[in-house]
This record gives sequence, C-alpha cells and structure tokens, in this order.
Amino acid sequence: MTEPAALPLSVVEAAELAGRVLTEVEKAIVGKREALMQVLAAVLAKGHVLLEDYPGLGKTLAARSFAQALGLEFRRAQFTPDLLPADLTGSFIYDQREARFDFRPGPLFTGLLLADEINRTPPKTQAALLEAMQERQVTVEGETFPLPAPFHVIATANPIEYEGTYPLPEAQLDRFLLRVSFGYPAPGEEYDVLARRLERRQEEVELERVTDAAGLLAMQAAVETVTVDESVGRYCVDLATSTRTHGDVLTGASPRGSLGLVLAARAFALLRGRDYVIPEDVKAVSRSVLAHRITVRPELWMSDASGRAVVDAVLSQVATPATLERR
Amino acid sequence: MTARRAGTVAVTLVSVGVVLAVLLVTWAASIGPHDVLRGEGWQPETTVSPTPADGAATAQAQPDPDDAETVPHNEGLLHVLALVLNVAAAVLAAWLLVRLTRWTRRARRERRRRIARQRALGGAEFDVMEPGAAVARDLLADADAQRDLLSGGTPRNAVVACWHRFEVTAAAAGIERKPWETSSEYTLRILDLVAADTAAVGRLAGLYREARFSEHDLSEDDRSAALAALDEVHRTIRAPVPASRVPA
Repeated sequence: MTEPAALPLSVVEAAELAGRVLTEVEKAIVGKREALMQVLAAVLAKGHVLLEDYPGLGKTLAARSFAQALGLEFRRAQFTPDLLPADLTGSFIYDQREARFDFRPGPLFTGLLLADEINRTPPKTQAALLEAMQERQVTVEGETFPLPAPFHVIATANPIEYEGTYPLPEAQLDRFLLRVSFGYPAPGEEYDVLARRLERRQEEVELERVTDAAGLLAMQAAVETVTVDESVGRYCVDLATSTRTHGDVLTGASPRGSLGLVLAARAFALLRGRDYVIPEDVKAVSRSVLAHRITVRPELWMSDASGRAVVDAVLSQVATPATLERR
Repeated sequence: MTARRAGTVAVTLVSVGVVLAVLLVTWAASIGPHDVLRGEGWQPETTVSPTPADGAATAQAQPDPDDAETVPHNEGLLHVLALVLNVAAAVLAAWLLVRLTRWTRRARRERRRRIARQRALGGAEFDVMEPGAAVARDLLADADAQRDLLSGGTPRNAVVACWHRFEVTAAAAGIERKPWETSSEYTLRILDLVAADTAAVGRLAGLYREARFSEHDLSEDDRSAALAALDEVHRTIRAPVPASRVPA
C-alpha cells in the first residue's frame, strides 16, 4: 500500500498543527488536555495506545475524535469472546463469477483502529492484533499484506471487570507505547459535558478535520528531528533499569521501555514546541510509558503496590542530568 | 501504608496466628479430648498438696482420682506456656530495641543536619522564615558575580554557568538540591521561595534549558534577553515569604 506524500514540516509548524488537533479533540473530551496530549504524543511517536479506565469516561469518544481531527480512516472492532483472528485480518472469499479467491481486508486495514474492550477476546485474537501492531503487516494463508501508513491502534480496556475477560499478558502489554487513564472529571468539567450535549441537541459530536494522513506523516517526520542530549538519554535508561531492581517488582521494564520513554518524550517535546528533549518531558511521560511494563510481586497483591507506584518511587530516586554538561 | 510495610504487617500477623494455633493445639492435646469437649476447664485448686493436716480435712479435700491424674499434664502445660511466653516476650523486646535504636539514630542524624544548616546560615537562630530570607540575601549579594558569568564567554556557556551559580548560592544558603530534582525544578523552587518575578524566571529557565539540552547556538540576542531577565529577577527578589510557602 502506498504512503501519502508527507510535506516537510518544521517543529514549530508541527507543534502548531498538533495544538489545533488537540483543541479540536477537546471540543468532545472536556478538561483532559494532559491525557489527550499523551495520546497524541504516542501517535506522533508512531506508537499505539491502551486506554484503561472505568466505563463512561470517554475512551471510545476520544479515539473517534482523534480519528476525525487527524483525518484518518477510522474502524472500530468490538472485541467479543467469539471474535476470530480472521475477523480482524480479513480472509480469502471465493468469487464465483471469476472462479477465484479474492482477499477481503478486515478492519485492521485502516488508519486508526479502535480495539474496543480488547481484554474480552481470547489470547489467539489478541495475539493476531498485537502481531499486526508490531509488524505493521498481516499474513493470511501464506500471503503477506502490508498495512497502510499511518496505522495506529487505540485499544480500550476496563480495569475492574475480571469475569469473562482475558487480561493481556505482560509481553503483549509491552507492545503499547503508552497506557493512559483519563480519570473522572471534576464537577465543573462534568457539568460542562452536560451543557455541551444540551446545546448540541444531538448525541454525535461533529469535529472539524484539522489534517490528513499526509499531515500526520509530516508531523511524525518532524518528531524524528527532535534531538535528545546524551544525559537525557542516559536518564531514560537509568529510570528503566531502576524499575528492575525495585523491591516490589518481579519483572521491570524491558529495553523497549527505555526506548519508548525516549520516543514518547521526543513527541511530548514537540507538542510543547521544542526541538530538544528536557528531563521534564521524560518525567511527564514516564508513568504512562513504564507503569504497564512492570509486574509487581504477586505476594503484594493485598497492598497498594502497583506499576505506577513503582514508577513514582523510581522518579523520586533516580538522579536527573547534572546542571553542567559533563565533558 | 507502603507495600513493604504492608508485607511486614501481614507476615507478623501470620506468625502471631501460627503461635496462637500451636498454643491451642498444645493445650488441647495435653488435657485430652474428654476435657476439651465436656470438661469444666483448668482448675488450679486441684494442684493442692495431697497430704492434708488432719483427718477431717482429708475427707473434704481428697481429690478425685481423675483429677489427680491431670495434675502432671497441667504442670507440663504451664511449663510450655511459660516458655513460649518468655520467648515471645524476648522477641518483642528485641524488636522494640531495634526500632528504638533506629529511631534514635535517625533523630541524631536530623539534629546534626539542622545544626549544620544553622552554621551555614552564620550561626543565627533558625526558624521557618529563615531559608527564604537567607537565599534572597545570598542571591542578591551574589548578583554581580552572576552578571559577570552571564556577560563572559559564549552565550551558551554563559547562560549555563549563570544558572549553575544559582544552585551553588542556594545550596550554600541551606536549600540543597534533591538528587531526583531536575535542575530547573530545583532552581524554580528556589526562585519561587524568594518570590522572584515568575515571567522573568521562566524566560531565564527557558534559555538555560535551550543552552543545556539543545544543539542550538545561542546568539548575543539570547544573552541580552538572559541579562534582562536576570536583572528583573534581582529587582523583584523580596524579603521572606510566608512559612506556608516554604517547601518541605
């Protein structure tokens, strides 16, 4: 599949475009700019996002809104217990008129896929999706089909239901660049949601298209020009390695974790209009990047130990880059 | 409650439970199934001397043959109980001693730090208003040196050196940088403590971050902007802020 031609954008132009995308999405998702910035940072860093939160907090709406504002083709796959890998990847259908098998692409062949309630489908189907996320291609009956570019997955999961669900194993969680939670809105923000709905006089939120697939590719190309000082890169590595030696941890973040930290921090720096990464960018994304890659010791299940608590502890222990550059 | 503390509490509770269970089983085994299910419980008066003073008392105090047989069992149980309680008391005392020792060491360490901080402030009596005042005084006293650093060398190195000077001055005034703090977080905390103009601090911090972490070449215009921001910071540094604004 051919990629749309990407116009070169400077960091300032890309930041301005990304800001407009965020503003547009904020018309639908009220008062969650920090969380939305994290989601957009993951998309700009060519990653996939897992939205894990309670029902009714706007996970699906956020994915749909990003697709509209970014001008991407949008497909939604509801992950049910009887969903099969072929339902996602597509399959060969016999064409009686032509007397041959034609490939009918599944919902994976899109710009932005919403994998709704990903933990409700069995591991076999989860693995098919996660393989496509990693390889950006699918293989059906020995034939390989590349996915379009850009291709991003925003998956949602409900953290409180366990019956009839298949929690994603750690190795598969690792494929998501970020895990983001929106959390409940403040009372004022919640009223704002009500007021906007009443003013709209319809359920659907119509958002303006700010850019398109080529524009997103250009923004992703601009992220690649953001520089990372060696001391900041080493700080990312120190954070990831410290999660491995923490007392509450069974398995810490892998090298993919430290790589994800740098990539997400770079996109976050662009969103803040900079072409260089500072330690504050790393701190801003570290919880979303590292927490889901950490497995806490099973004997601590009764306590408040969690991946997020480990990341917080590590952030308050690991030394940041020195004020003066070491030569 | 931290995860480690919760784990310790859980292990302690389980240990106490196991000890109690062992005691209960030991007691039940020592008196036999008959007394556990239908007995009247342990009666200490059955352990009285079997040789009475006179015949009348003998008739009244003659123990039941069954009770006479339980006496050695109860004595054994008492010995076991006493031993277990002694061991438990010893363990508890040792644990308390360890905790007390740690607490004492920590208190001494804190006291030494406090004294060192007071000495760094010139031996003045220390109170919660002092850090802001000391930092403000030292930063203003050091203003010329900061300006000199910012005026010399390449703009990039000058901005970084000036920013570093803030840290050194504040640390000398008793506000030390925490290892996990970024340099800008730390310096912004200091400048906030002395109520400097936020916009000027922001401009200076932005230039520092660009000089330290980017690959840009800073220009003379950037140096001029940094000098203007520095002068504004010095101009707006005021006397100590209220105690409630002093960070922990």
